[in-house]
Amino acid sequence: MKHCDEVLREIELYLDQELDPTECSEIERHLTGCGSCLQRKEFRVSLRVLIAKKCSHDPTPQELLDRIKQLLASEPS
Amino acid sequence: MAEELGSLAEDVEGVPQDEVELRARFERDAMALLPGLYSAALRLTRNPADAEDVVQETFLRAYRGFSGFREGTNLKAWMYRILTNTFINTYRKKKRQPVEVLEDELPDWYLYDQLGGGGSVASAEATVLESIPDEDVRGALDSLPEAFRMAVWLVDVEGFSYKETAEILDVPIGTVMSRLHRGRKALEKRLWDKVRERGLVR
Repeated sequence: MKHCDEVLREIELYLDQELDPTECSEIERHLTGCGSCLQRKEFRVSLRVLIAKKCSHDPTPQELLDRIKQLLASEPS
Repeated sequence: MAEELGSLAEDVEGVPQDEVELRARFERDAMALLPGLYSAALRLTRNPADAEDVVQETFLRAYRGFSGFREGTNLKAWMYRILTNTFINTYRKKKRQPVEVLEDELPDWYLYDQLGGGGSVASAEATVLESIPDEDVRGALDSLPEAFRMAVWLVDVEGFSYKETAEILDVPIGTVMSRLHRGRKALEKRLWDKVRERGLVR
């Protein structure tokens, strides 16, 4: 059974889906029984979602799209 | 170009590609990545005019190297790698950039602790974060030094794995992990600064 400090150290890897299945299930087992770690995990998740949402794609200028199309069309094969 | 792209694209020998078909495939697959690539270029250059130049050059290079791109490999990662190379080789060389340093190591769970995590209201922290304006979050990310900014952007926003990110940035996986870890903490610090500037917490 993993302890809190170990779980909290690995939570980043866990959320990045970079841990193997055994490690993941150990972390999940800990999280079901530990409210404090679960709350920290939930916080990380919402932070991640927020960053992805708020930093998602900037609108692409239409003239850039046109320029690229034109450029490629004029490329010799 | 092919050597520069390393394992993501190796030359396929002796496969003559019909030009029309190639063009169509490139337009279909690569052009769909334009919004993401433009945003990535903005993160790199922090300037719309330069971002447009980098993206344009990226598409030109990708188009010229596309016949060497093997179908089935990750086109998105391949294009991002070209973008990064283009930025480093053409754009950054021209501009003298000040060396950017990251603040001293911050404690883990910095933002969580600052927001009073562990209190009775579990969702309060998330609500405070939600109220930060988009441009502030983007500004906080843009204020990170380039190496850290890119690692955080590629993993957290673009959803690349550590391995893909390592290939795109041409650094070892361990470097990606450390930049990501430190970059995320620095981002938390900057978000916390924004929260205070905006008076979102008492």
